[in-house]
Amino acid sequence: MRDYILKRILMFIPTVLLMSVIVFFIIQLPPGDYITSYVSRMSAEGEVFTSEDIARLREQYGLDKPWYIQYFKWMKNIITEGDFGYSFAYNRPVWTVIMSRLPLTVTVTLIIMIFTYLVSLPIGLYSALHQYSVGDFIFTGIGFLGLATPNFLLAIILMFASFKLTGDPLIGLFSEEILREGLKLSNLGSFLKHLIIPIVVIGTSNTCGVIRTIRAQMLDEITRQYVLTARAKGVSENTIIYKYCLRAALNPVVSGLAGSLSSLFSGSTISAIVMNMAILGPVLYEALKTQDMYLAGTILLTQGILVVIGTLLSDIVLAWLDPRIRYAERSS
Amino acid sequence: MKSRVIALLMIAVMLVGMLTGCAGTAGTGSQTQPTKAPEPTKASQPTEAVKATPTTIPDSKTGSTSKFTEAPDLKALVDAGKLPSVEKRLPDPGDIMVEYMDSVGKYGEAFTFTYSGKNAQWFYGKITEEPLFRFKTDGTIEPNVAKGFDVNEDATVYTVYLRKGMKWSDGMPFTADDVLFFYYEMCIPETFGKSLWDCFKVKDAQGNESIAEFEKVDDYTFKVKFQAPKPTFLEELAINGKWCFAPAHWYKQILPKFIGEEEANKKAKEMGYSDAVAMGKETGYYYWNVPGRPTLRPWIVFENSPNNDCDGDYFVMERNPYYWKVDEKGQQLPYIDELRFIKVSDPQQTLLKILDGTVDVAAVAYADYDVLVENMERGGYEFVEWASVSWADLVSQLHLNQTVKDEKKRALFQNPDFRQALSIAVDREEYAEIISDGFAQGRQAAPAKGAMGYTEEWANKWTEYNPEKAKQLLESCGLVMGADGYYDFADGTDFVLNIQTFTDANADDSAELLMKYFGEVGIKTTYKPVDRSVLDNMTTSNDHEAVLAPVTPATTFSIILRPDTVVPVRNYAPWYGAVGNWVASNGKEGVEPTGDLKKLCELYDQLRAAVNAKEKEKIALEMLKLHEKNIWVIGYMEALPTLIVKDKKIKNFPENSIFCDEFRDFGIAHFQCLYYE
Amino acid sequence: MVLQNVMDRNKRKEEEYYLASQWTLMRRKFKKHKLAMASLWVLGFLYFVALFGNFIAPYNLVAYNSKIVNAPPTKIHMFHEGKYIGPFVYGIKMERDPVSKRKMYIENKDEIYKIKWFTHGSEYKLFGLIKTDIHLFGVEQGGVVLLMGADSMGRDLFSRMILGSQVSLTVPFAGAIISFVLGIIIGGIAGYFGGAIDSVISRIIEVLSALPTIPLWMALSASIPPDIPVVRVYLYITIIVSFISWTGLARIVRGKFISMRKEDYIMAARIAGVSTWKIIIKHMVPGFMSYLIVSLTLGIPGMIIGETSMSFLGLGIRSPATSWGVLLQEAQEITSIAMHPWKLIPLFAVIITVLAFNFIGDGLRDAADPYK
Repeated sequence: MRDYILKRILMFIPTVLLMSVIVFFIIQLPPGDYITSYVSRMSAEGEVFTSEDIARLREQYGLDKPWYIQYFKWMKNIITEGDFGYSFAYNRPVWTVIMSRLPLTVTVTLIIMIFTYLVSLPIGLYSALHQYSVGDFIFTGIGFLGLATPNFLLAIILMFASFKLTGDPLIGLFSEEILREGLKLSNLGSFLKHLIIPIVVIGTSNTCGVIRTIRAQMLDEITRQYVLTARAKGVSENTIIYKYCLRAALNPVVSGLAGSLSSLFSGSTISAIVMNMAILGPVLYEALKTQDMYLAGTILLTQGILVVIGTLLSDIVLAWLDPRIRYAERSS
Repeated sequence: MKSRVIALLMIAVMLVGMLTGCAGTAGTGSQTQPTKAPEPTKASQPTEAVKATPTTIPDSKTGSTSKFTEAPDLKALVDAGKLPSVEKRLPDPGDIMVEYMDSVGKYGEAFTFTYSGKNAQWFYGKITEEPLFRFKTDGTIEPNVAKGFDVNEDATVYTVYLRKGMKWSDGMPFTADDVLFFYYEMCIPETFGKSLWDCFKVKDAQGNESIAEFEKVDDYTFKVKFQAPKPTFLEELAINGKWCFAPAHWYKQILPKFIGEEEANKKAKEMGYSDAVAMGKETGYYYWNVPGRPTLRPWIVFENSPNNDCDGDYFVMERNPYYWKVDEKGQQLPYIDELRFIKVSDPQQTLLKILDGTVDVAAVAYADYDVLVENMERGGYEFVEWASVSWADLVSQLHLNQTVKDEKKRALFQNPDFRQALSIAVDREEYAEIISDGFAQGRQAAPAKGAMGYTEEWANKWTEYNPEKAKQLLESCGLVMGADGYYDFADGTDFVLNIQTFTDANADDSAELLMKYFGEVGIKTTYKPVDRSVLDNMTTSNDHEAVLAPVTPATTFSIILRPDTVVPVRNYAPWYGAVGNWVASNGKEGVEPTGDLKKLCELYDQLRAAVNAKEKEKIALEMLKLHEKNIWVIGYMEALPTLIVKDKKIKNFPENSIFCDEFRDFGIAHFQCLYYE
Repeated sequence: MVLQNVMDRNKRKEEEYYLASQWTLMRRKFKKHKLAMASLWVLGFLYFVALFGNFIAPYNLVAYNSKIVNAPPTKIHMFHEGKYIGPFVYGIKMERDPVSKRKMYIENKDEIYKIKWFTHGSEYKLFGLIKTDIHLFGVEQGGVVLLMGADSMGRDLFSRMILGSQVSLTVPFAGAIISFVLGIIIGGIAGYFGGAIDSVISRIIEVLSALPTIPLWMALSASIPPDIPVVRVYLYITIIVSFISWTGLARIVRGKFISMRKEDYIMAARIAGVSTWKIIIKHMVPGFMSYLIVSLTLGIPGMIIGETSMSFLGLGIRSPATSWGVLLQEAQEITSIAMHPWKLIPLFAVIITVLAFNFIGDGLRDAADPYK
């Protein structure tokens, strides 16, 4: 086990490096660069740019050099100084920008994830155990509906519905009060109210996948020989279900957790844009659109690192959950 | 009814816009008289900026200069000893600027807007701007930060008078030193990343260019000297330069010249910028974003305020205690306590926030008219329409690149018959009904009604729907109908019209319709929206072909002051393409114009050399006549006015105005004069 | 005697059952799953409509009509002033309320347009081959029949929805199948062989899953020349992106393979000399067939939803080419939701299609379950 982990950590570095190169390359792939989008936006507001102004801007940001030189400079700064560069759009260090949004991103995504699993695990279990019952149909039906509806449309419909019914469209995570005064215990209620639509929109589309997976896996497991044996031996039904079947059924769910970790970092982008949530997803999207190289690169790199860590973690948990893998590793 | 008022405004703007160019040289202007302002319009009256006569604040009760009053929170600070008294904060009583408005207001409340972050910096920049001289709704300029000016007979020396006792937002005195500092220590060394603006340059009769010379006369007076006559200096300053000053005392602490490279870089990092150059740009040009940087604006961003991050989710600009304007009752402006900006990521969110009554002032689209009307009661807002100076609605302007690289296409685009064919191939009635939901009428690209050069013939030129005639015209251009039902060039090669635009232009519907009409007369068309920056690149390198809804549509606020979109001045508008480069580089780069286009460029040279208002007007009209003859820019629908929603309770908001950059978009509403009733 | 016959019959049935092939068994079991069968019919209907789309839709994609911009669905009447005359619609008049300037469409009871079957309309090519201009139904010139109202350019939403389904129901297939196949093969190889191969492939999977698809879409969209039809552009981009999106399935397949490869029966097969390929396909894959099927059936609707997301970002299909994603994007406005709610109907088409695929997946999974 220890060797396995060690080996994986060693592989970490070349993987991450390769990732960073490819990511950086793709970011600057669309034609133009940050300066072109910046100049056109400002010109549209009446600002005047001569070609000297533009050339000077390019030089200032180092965008007049080819991409691999920009990449090299960026990497060098990261490794030697831990400096992730500056965001052109925010005119601030990249890390500051990310850090200012990170707590909220993690909080919101965690809440939604917890909600997702809290809701879908019991439902999946129930569906598996009471297959074809009315309850099964109802719950899986609701789960499917959540998946079937495109999030961005659902979001705007809910916001409008909220406006029509209550006069407050619940845009964003913070009401004006909270924006002005900061999150306090007194206005926590408002924050929770604003979380309703994101949870419904994002949560429901994730629950379906988990429900289906758990249900399918459990159904597979329950009909296995060892379950019959266990029952014959007199082991309690609950023990069978929770200790044995569920553990095996969690196999694919755990594999999927690796992906969840990176989505934790950026949050669901499109829904976040429509609902005006101040998390990293929209920041990343804007950065990609305007080719704010270092900001986008850093966020993606961090995401990538989290994916790698997540994979490692889920592989470890998988080994722990499924003793067959552990023994396999030992014997091979 | 409404359109008549707008038309009158237009006429006023256009006519008077040029008359100011002759200040001091003809007619009434003389050595010592400042520009005589014409009859005041509804929006604001001119300040009595006469040379040595102090400004009096009329007081109906006592007949003498009245006392000044201030906002309650400022009063509280004064009482607590944290702020000097209002008399000490305002300029000398003789030099205070008085804003006249429909009704005198009262203090309190805040304006709430939505914004998209620092990208919207011009939005809140323009509404809080205080330039040296500003435009009035009739198109003339009036003193603003400056108190008044004199100009000599040949418009080579301007004497500008400032206001005694005027202070920056941090209480330090504002003097002529600040003006000279801005010019010599910031503009000329280009510390904020912009090359010296054209308004400070002048060309003499031989074509030699020279820059202005600033000279301090005393603390509150300075002279600007040119080597050749520059009659429109102040107007150009109001358009291009806008402000012409900077807090010298503050900059001496951060510019590399004064504290050294290393210190400057350190200071930059402290403020959060990558280096001194970035700091120079942000604090020098986009300075209204920088917390703690002293300004003269009515609302500013304080250093120790909680919501002063211009890229945050919630951004607040608070009242400037040293603001130098009062109303006619002596109340220190502004009335409104603060400006609040809520960040949104999608225009639909702005719409929702308007519907629920949060947003106080915003421009909206006619497409959303119905749902806005539905919720008017609930949201508590009303509509205001401001005129546009665009020659045709943005999405209906088609710019054919007169210098397109393909030789055959170039000949075709330069042929007026081809342009006529494209123009009459479209059923404008149907087009306008669909695109504007019936709010606008079909029209040709021409100046707005009442604007200079407008004629009814021009507005209706080539607007009939006649696909048969279009086909005949195409054939007369040498095109031959191919087997696939589309026209080809005479030598057999395919002719494809490639329409480009940028993705945020919302021109997809327009392009779809045009493609249908063009297809019906046998022109094969493709359509490709690209990112705005990509389109800019293409325009710069002359790779564009036919641009729909360009970033720089044909508009004329004043063809004399700002002709870029309809006259080749530099690489700017898509229709004249590389001719712009040719003019800007004096013939070294770009494509040389021919025929009428060349004549247009020649006329423009004459225009710049003219010193006489009448002469300028004559030349300008000739230039516009060339446009009428050639229809270089094709348009299909009239420009809709700018539709604004504003909270019902806001007073002093102008009912009629023009929404344009010269008027600083919403800025002309003079937000410091608005209040809640 | 009777009993003997019954017993014989039962025995024959049992024999049939035992001798029946795997697929026959699956088919029988599938038929028992009511919801899945119903979904099969629903999808069959949708694909049938898509196939005959140009015929069933009364109008085509470029039937702009300035007189019915944003018009609500036309009511179909049977009785006019008490008399029965068969299905018809009244003429539509557009008026603006004089005070609020709001647009209103009112029925003009003076004009009657009967709905006719097999009318002549716009020309099209049935199945892309046969040129004809006959449509299933329509009304005379001057009248319009808008079963689902009109959009902001006056086009019939019903027609656009049907014609849009031709894209939305077919293009995602290509992407889903490519991802599916790639995922199984690569994930299988990684899981089965383990060791260095597994490491390398796992690392590749990690790198690929960190890639941002948005700039990739942007770059691809920008580089494709404008004269290629939009739908084909979309197909190319979908195929290219699906070459990156197989990673999710691959990881899970790999996980399964890892836990299965040490099973006794696999070892037995290896000893017996069965080729690696056959082991993977014939022995291991059926072991988690249920999960694969679930994944595929969730994959296709996933691509349908993905297409709508891409349209939302402005990177997918563009008018006049239509897909459900394009229609949903046009509904993504407060004005549409508040004032023209009929534009949300395509949402239900998407929901029903996705649900149908899911239920079928359910049915298949249950049918493939060897233990029930």
